[in-house]
Amino acid sequence: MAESVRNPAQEVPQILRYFGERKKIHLIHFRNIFGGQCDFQEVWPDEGVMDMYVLMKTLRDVGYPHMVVPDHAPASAAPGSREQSFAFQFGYIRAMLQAVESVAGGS
Amino acid sequence: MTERPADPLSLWNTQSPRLHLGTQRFTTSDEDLEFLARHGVTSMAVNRMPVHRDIGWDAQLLGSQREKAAGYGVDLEMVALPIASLNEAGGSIPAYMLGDFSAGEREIDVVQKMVRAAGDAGITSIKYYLCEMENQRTESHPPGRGNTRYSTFDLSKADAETPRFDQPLTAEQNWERVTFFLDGLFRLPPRPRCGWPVTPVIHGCHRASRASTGFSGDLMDFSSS
Repeated sequence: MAESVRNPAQEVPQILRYFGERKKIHLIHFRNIFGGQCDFQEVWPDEGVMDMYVLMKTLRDVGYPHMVVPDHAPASAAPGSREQSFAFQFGYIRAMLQAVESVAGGS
Repeated sequence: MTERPADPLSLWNTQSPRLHLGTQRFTTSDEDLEFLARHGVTSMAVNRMPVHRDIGWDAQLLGSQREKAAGYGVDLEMVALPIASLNEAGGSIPAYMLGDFSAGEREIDVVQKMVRAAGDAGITSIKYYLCEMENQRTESHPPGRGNTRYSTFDLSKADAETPRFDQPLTAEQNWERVTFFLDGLFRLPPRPRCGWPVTPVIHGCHRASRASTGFSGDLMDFSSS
């Protein structure tokens, strides 16, 4: 989704809210990018142009009930690179889920 | 055509959201399931299930895989349609996407059986990928953090010259073929228990992902279609 728009940081939360309020989202690839439409790189979730907390909070706010999954994991030649990449992304997503729940519970 | 409810299982809830961590990149091997459980992953989509030309998927096999995953605390909640295995002639592109709607009807028949099998196995979602052209990528440079390689696309460096099909394909033809498939898929009647056997989840190459006019254009069109 992020790579389809010119300004992902601004537009993706609006897109999530628009489709989420209509219950039209069934799977989330939770990954960040540098750049935007027609010129982008898929990067680690904590270093791209989008605020991933805002995205997760938007999903929670609209009552999204399905999976949030890592997409492509950045690869390297290091042994175990794939597993390391996924472990990092799983931890990142779990922490983000706990963060939005914690803030929502305290508000 | 039967109206499809947006939330047949009443899962959406703003007061008690159920969003959760999942993955679509692992299998139901013991090693993979242990890895997922170790990292707190509670749901998964499986991309490759054995396909039988006559019955589609084996519902019992789907059910046993789901049970196995559940034993590790992982809900196998989604299966990917094997789009690249549908063509009877053996090619990786389904006949309907090549404009052969006669063979395409048989492909849809197999897919409908798969959808029923998923529903019978208690798997609530399927996903599918309708982009027949590859997700083109360009050189990743410079390396990313820690010498990682980032999946990269720069339109100015993309290959727009190499033909992907024997005949040029217009956008209208492409959407006609996609629509043929979706219309066929949704001929499947709903079931009383959940209103629909499974939730179809589109992945890639929909109007949203080809949006050239930004959020206010194609995405809005897609949402009403």
